[in-house]
Amino acid sequence: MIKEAKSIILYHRSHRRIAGSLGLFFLQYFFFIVPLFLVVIFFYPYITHVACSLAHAVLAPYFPDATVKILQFPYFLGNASYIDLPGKDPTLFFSLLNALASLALLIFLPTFKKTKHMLIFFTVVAFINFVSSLFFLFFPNRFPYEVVEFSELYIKQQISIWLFIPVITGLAVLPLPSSLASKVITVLVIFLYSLVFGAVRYVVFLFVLGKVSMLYMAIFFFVLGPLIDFVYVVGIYGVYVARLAENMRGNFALWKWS
Amino acid sequence: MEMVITLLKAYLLFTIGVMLVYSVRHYIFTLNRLFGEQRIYYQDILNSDLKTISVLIPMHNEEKVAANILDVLLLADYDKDKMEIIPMNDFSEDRTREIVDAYAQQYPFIKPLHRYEGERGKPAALNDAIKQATGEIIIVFDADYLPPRGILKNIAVSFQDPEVGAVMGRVIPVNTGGNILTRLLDLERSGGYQVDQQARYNLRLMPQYGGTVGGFRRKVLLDLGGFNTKILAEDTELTYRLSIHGWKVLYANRAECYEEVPEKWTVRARQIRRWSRGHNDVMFRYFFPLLTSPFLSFREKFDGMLLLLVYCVPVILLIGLIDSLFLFFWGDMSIFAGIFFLIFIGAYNTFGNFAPFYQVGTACLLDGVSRRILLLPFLIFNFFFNMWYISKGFFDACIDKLINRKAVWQKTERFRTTSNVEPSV
Repeated sequence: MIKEAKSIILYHRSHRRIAGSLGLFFLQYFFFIVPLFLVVIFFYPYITHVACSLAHAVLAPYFPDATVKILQFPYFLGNASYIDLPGKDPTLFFSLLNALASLALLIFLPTFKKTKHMLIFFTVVAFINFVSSLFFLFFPNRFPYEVVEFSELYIKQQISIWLFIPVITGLAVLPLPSSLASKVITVLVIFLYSLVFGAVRYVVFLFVLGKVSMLYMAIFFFVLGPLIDFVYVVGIYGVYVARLAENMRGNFALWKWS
Repeated sequence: MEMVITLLKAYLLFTIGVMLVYSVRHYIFTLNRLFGEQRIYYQDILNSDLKTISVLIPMHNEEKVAANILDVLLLADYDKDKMEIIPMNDFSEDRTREIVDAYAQQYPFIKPLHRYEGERGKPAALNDAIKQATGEIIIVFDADYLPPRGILKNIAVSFQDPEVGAVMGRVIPVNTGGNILTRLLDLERSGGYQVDQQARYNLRLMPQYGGTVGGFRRKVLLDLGGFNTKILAEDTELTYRLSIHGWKVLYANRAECYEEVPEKWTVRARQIRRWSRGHNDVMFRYFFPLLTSPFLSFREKFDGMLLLLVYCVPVILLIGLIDSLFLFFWGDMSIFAGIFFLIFIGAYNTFGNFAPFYQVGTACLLDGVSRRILLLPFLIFNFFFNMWYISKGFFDACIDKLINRKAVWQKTERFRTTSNVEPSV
């Protein structure tokens, strides 16, 4: 009993590390992440086509007077699909209303003292919307994009996100002291989430640009684009690491001191 | 106009390059901390004859915390014949003087320094205290800290090594459970010390002396002319001054000490703006001396340079954001196509808090904390907050430099309410 108790007296946490190896990490990365990366490289024409078919199915009923089309553009190894539909230009009154609302937020948000971190985030959002509103107010005919261009760019970005997510999550998750299966599953969950999230967000963006206003394109681009992808990446990573930390409390074999 | 657009695009690529360098640097730190052999500190030579020490505690209106720190320092296991405690009462208008004097009457090795004349601020007070001090080693704690019993030995022991000029211990928030801010700051601290500082120590790069929970050689500082009272970040300045003169700065991960972190966003905003102002001032002064120092290796210089520039990164990103907004409305979205913009944004979210998410996650894992890791996604808000106030601090430093303005020291508000604020003597 005493011997057993003594065997689990551990050194201080300050110099502990995990009982893994860098070589094994690189090996796992090569065999599990690189193939996932290659899957995206070789199958993005198919993935984007599926996403666009879904978007088409959802959006077409809302645009009965116009054609919602699936187009293609050449991109690296193949053709990527994207949606074209007519955008809704804001009226001067709508732009003015948005400008005033954004201005009001820009004035009042900094006066709040609590939750200042969130307020600064929303101030950035209000600022971007304010700039966009002013642009449509003063240069309504000079807005340089149509929905089709935004749509094409979105797909390009989304392909990059799908490529980037296995790379970054593999780097973050694979070195951790856990079973290979759980690590691979975590990477796959994040990747699959990004597939679904990217497709759903595409539909929502196109719907708003087509039915509500083109004015919100800047916010979609700067705030609700890849920035949001990193929130769920970090979120799922956080859940995984929290569970791992909980499990490691009693598992002394995972620690090393040197 | 073509030229302007090209420049704006080039700036964006520059931003991406900077972010990549920092991301790789922090990933190397993370892997080193997870798998690398950890460079053990000097605690195994505790039986040696330790040097005399002077413990300095800068205090300006610290009635809420003064008694706490003196009480815990009285419990320290350091030979009392070899130590003195100098509470530095710097122009206090509250009961700080009264509290400190009560302890001094009881304990002869508590030798307060009351300052009501001359220059104000921590560096000036430290200079006066160092002249009064008799210890070979100066150890500094801010007044809100709660040093554990063995920490003085832990810090002092490293000075048995004649190459060591300064040592930094680890800072851990004591009020972590206060609110969302304190919890997020705890994550930030964890990543910064458990991984960042320890990895830099392991890799023989440049750990940073942080001005508290640390010590330095008194004679060395006096020989180098004492603290520069015009600099807000006297700690960072000391790190670079010692390093470029050939002294080693160490990090002692084992020397853990509790501190009180800000519980209000407004207080945190002032604190981080002041840090940025001070740090960037040091950057202006030491960038070239660092690169030309004959005592530092290439990788020490490279890491030292990245450390010096760390408070410029949020500014670079902020300008990048404005730059990209301009390009967007100009109709030049093509620069964003593909991976470039994504990396830019990814870096935003991952680097925004001085430590990428994988570094913070790893630090929490090594520390053995679990539930707090769930707050990781909330760092996105911290990022914008940091970007804004650090940028303000950067521009403060630029104006200081341009018009030769002297920065005024601002004290961080204390929040302690529960424990004993009355002297125990």
